[in-house]
Amino acid sequence: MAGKDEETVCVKEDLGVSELLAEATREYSTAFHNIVWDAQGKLRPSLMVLVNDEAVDKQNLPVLRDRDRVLLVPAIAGG
Amino acid sequence: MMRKDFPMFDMHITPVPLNDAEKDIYDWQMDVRGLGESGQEKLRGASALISRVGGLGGPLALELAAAGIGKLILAHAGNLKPGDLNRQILMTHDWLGKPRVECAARRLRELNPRLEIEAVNANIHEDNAAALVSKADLVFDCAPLFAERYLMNRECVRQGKPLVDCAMFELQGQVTTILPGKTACLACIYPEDPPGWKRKFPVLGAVSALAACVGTLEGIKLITGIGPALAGKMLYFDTRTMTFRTLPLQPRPDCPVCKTAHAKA
Ligand SMILES: [Zn+2]
Repeated sequence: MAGKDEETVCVKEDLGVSELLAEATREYSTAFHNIVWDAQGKLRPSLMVLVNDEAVDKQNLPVLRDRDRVLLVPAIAGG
Repeated sequence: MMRKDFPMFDMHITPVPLNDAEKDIYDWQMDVRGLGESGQEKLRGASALISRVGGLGGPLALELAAAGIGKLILAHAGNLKPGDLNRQILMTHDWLGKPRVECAARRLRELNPRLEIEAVNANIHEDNAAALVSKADLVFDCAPLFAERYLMNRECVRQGKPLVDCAMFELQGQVTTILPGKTACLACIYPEDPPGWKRKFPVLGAVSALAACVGTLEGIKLITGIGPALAGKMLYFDTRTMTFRTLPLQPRPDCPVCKTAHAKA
């Protein structure tokens, strides 16, 4: 939906998921911005955020470790 | 050796005995481990509501008809347009301008004349959701609008019916099975109507059909018990990279739709 499937990135140590998403938002499209963030700048409730296929607490986003995989699953309804 | 069985969701389906012609038709399928004649009789006794029979609901209805389900209730409004024909495989070119649900019923009967079909020329809305859900043992959600999906979710949770929720976008798909009182419901997974969702979405028919076949298998598993459903899990796939993942889903304790169902369970 955001025009990207997956990307491998090198980031500084102990980067948080929230910082990663903020950085990706600066690089990617407006579509990505609108899928990830609401008008108040909070993560959208309809976006699933998973690290290594485990759901994370969006109020308390974790810090990333080497080789972690962050997966964003937006709500879709195509039939 | 310890065996761990998967939890079953009792749908209270009354099996219908097969006649000799049906035993011939389902001969190869009854060899599937765990299915047998008793599973086929459950399929024969089962009924399902499919909301919209377009790119996703169409192949889903076709596979359920092929597998020998007893009754389908098809809800889909509107007439066939040229832009439907890239994916809505129950449609035929000669039917342009005519009601899609009638074409779907006609095609399904050609494959399975024993199938009972109730064709409703309407989409799910506030006034018909409860009644349509009440007619079926399980519901397949293949609608392209969240408003319809939330209505089916609410009614399935209220009536204690399983809901197989199938969705796609472009080259991606998502399928999960919602068991009222046991798993997260659609409003737990997506608590807001996503504001960016548009009625027209990029679609290849093969992606819709892939989500449809996964959804069909979910239904067959629920009816016959041949394997655990994607209950509390979502199959997420991206066919551009051929990535398939099964993701965990958690009920939201504050979900306004299903918290009562969880409290009762
Ligand atoms: Zn819920």
